[in-house]
Amino acid sequence: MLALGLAGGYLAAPAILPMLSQGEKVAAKPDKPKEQKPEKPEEETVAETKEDPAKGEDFDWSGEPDDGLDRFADAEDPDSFQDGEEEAIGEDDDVEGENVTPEKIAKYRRKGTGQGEDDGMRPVREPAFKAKMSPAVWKQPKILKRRLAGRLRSRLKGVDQDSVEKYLEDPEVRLMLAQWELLNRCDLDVLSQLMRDRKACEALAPLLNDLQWVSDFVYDGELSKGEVALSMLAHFRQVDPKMDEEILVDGGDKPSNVGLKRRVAGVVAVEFARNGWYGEEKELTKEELDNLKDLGYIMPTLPGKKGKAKTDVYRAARERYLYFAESIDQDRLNGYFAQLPTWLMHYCCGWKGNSPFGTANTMRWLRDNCAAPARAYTGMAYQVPYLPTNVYGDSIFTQWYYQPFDVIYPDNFAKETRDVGAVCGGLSHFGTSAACANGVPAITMGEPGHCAYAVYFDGKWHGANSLSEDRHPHWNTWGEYTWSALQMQTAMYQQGQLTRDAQMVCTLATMLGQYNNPVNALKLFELAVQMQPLYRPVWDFYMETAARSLGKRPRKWLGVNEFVCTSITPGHPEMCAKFLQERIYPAMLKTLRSPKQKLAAFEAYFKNLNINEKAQWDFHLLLDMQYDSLGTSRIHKEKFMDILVDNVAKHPEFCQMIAWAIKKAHAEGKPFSKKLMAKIDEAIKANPDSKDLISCGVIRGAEEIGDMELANLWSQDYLKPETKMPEFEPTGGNLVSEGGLVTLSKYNDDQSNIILHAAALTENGGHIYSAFGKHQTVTVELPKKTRIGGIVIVPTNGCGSYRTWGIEVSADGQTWKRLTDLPDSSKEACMRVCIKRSHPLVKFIRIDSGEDQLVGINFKAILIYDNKKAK
Amino acid sequence: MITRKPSKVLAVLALLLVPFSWGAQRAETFPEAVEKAGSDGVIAYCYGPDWNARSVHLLKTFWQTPAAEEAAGNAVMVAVPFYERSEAKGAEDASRIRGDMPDPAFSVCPSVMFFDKNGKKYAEFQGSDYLGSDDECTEGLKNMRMYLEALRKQQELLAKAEPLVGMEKAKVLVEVGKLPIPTPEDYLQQLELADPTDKLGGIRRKTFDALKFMYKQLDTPDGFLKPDFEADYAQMKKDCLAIFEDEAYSARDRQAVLNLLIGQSRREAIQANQLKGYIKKVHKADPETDYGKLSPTLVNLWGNMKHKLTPEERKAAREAKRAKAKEKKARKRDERRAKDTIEIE
Repeated sequence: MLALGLAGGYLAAPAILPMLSQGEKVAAKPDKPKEQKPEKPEEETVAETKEDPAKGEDFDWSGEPDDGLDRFADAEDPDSFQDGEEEAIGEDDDVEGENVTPEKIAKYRRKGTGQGEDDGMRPVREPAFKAKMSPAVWKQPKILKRRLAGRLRSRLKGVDQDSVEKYLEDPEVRLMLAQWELLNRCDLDVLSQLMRDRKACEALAPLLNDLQWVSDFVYDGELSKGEVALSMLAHFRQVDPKMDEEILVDGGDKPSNVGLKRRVAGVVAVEFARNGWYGEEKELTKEELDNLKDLGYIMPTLPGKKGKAKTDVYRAARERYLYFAESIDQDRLNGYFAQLPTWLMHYCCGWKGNSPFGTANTMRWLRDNCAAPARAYTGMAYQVPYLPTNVYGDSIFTQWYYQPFDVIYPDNFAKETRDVGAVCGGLSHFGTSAACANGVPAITMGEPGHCAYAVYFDGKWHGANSLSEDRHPHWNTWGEYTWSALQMQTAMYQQGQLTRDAQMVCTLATMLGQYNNPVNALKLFELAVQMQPLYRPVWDFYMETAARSLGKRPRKWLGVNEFVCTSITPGHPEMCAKFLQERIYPAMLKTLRSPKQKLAAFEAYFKNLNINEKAQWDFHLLLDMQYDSLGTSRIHKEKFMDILVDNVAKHPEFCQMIAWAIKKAHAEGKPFSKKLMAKIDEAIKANPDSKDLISCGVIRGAEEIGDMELANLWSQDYLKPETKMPEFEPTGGNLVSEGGLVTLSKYNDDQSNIILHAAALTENGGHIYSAFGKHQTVTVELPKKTRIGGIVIVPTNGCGSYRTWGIEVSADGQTWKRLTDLPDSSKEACMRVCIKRSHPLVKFIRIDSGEDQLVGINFKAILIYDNKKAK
Repeated sequence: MITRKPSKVLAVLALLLVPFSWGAQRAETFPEAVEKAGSDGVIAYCYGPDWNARSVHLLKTFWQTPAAEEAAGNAVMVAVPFYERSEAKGAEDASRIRGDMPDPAFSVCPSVMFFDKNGKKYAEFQGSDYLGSDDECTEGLKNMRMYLEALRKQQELLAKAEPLVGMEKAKVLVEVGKLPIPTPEDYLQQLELADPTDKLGGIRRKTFDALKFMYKQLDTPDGFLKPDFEADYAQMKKDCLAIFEDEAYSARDRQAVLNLLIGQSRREAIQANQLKGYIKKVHKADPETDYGKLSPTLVNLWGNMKHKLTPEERKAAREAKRAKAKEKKARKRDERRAKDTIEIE
């Protein structure tokens, strides 16, 4: 497995990132780890230990002679291999961005995944390895950390790809790397205190020697408070002494729970420690304290807790672990759960430890009453009735909504929600917690004015109770809380072995950085980045280390830029855009003097857009940054627009970028706009299939700059859509809206209807469809000022309720006057407003949804008639 | 010794009765079950072989036991698997077993679904709330008997109503409407023919929607209260009490309607005694419903609230509110009359 991942993997790829020259000094150190100062030389440690053998911190590696501490002797010189290696590495100035092609990257990635596609459902299996380390060595974690580092360095024969490949083939090395990473993420003073407790130490030792478990523990989530997580784990092992017991369920011949509970324990500990979900911090009576001690409860001194009364700080975590342990023992979870890799378990087991939906009783009820196949959880939310007002007439936005019912639903908020009702937030939390309680990964998400959720099955996240694709998960196991980050993280973990190897190389690099070896650290960070460019933390380390060394070397920066664009943009354009904006451009753009180089760098992003998804993020920031960096040079700005248009025409899903270009060109003046339009025409001729979506981009741009002529010109081919208009009686007068301009306060993600805006102002009908939210408006600008006599509005789905909606008019687009409200409730197919007297002279008519309703504008037509006699 | 005698007698009696007390049959597939079904219809047990071990376990400890057969009466019993993965072992046969049987609600398993002899679903329950948390599903057996009994009673009443006309027929049909299973499709038509003026209240009971009533009282079509909404308390009280006093409505509907009045009374800060009186009325209407069970809590929660306003102040405030609400209502009514055409002078 390992060989597949490595030999067939990244080693086959060309060196993509520019390597540093031999002996180059790098001042920056990777500083994410807590201990940044270079450690003492190993000799001191050994000497110190030898002086006090009573401490008992000797290693007991099975399969090796019991030579006590002497086996570290070969690790005394941390730089023993360094000189020779650096010669071998040398400077790779030949490797430039131009050498990297998408084909090369694709080949590299394909090989890198070992078996090709991984469905993300199989846990990464580390090779079997049974090295054992005496529990006692963990009592002095600082010493242990130094020794592990020494040992790891002594075995590393070089930082070139071949050497690292061989190095990682050794399971003992992999275990030590994971252990070192664990120690690096702990407050070692607190950990030392914890491990001096005999029970805790004995409880943790088996876990800490388990390569698979330790690797999952440190790499499959964001282990940010290692000492707290370990303390929780020690507690879990004591309250559940049968954590590793294998159970045969219903006469089966193979236990289905092998190692499952210890994985769950690790996940719960990581997430609850990271998020600070410790439970109630209350003073305990002596009796309560004794009861907890009987349970084997361990009371470590946590940061900030010194000198305080002992508290049941791990109640919430313990309950969560015991819930899953009990469910596994009784085989009550969805069969899907046992197949989940550890990184996906984080979403189920680490879900909202501080939420009333996340208590053990609530989860137990959900498990026993909402058990469904994984895919059915996308509809589970609808068990809860959508009731903004409860049976007592109290609004959900008041404390009274659930209060009367709290007594009859003690500690079961899910059941209370199902019986009493909720709005979008309650529905989505119900659906998510039902899935998580049954062992199916799910996550709640925010959408504009709405709460939705997503469920993981069939290898991807599926939106549920969702109204928009503008999604922001409420939490994540690490990194950003955005939909794109979740997608990228999922893609990364799905390449199991490759990702794990990259993470281990990153650990090795961090370690070397801490031990005064920044040159090799940087090389290893580069290697890790090449292995798994989707692993965001390694980029952070790399950029911190590399920024100064890359300095003012434009070709090297271009190489990094090219690599980022070819490896991240194709699947994750938003994440790549953000990364470029935040980490690459600020330094690179200062270095690149020539606009040509800049254009080459920007083109690398556009030419790699290769995803059939709309641009749903704020891409303007990236485009603005690129465009503004070109200064005042019109030629280069035109060239930039050419690159943009050419590439968007190949991927018209990004047609919103055309709207951005139209706006920018408008600001530059008419000749610029004219050239841009010519380029767009040319691009459509080259890619005729992109015409409709590109037209959407142009029309939207025209609407945003108020260019009625341009919008109507590009709408000409779409004036007779196949819209079925209901029969209606015009209000009298002549239709004056035809040829006008529609603008929306917030455009919908689905851009495709924009070409039908012009048709919606004619009696043929079209489509006007806004985003969902409060205070949505649609404005119609008439071709000329007119005294209006009537308005007909044809909603797409019948009239229904338009409470709080109103029509406003204006002669100049600045001063608005309320003309009328829309009918509250009508069963008609259209709404008609007839103005009998005092016909206002207007140029703009605006329909406003009002403040207090969450709606989307969805009309087939808005027809405006004048007050003259119909021709 | 003496105490054992009756139990022995009972045991013998029970043994004798065994062959005659139930006659549940089992079928391999749902279509076969419908074909075999008699008046007790079909009872289906839904389980998830490849994803829900609990439902597979209950297949043995609950569904395949004599106790379940006894509870199923003369219905045809069938166990229907719902697979998550089409490649799972046994999944290829699932669609044959299932036939045209619908999914359990929200695909939840284990579920017990009830079908009449024509294969039309008339009841369903699922999860430990209704099956019970024990392996024998004691609660589930009780519910099976309850629904089966309701089906039998419905058939008996419909047969009884068949030859009758007018109010005699209506009386029987009203009883049908009180059973905890859906009424036949033409139930309302039959009732309207038998009791056109709804003297017995069967039509009111059947067509009443407590939620719609509440939204109408709160003047909200979608449930979101308007920020400036002020209820017409006097009118609401009149409307709510009128429905509550009418025993033609189901106990739960009557309770729901009075709950609205309780909530509004709390918001209007009426006297604690009066509020308590309403809460007690809800309890008395049916102490077994969730609203009935909630009453003691409400008395504690709201029955002793301290009110800041004196009775005079309260009266004045209420009258002012009422006048304002009336004025607003009249305005709204006028606006609504305009319906789809708004004339602007």
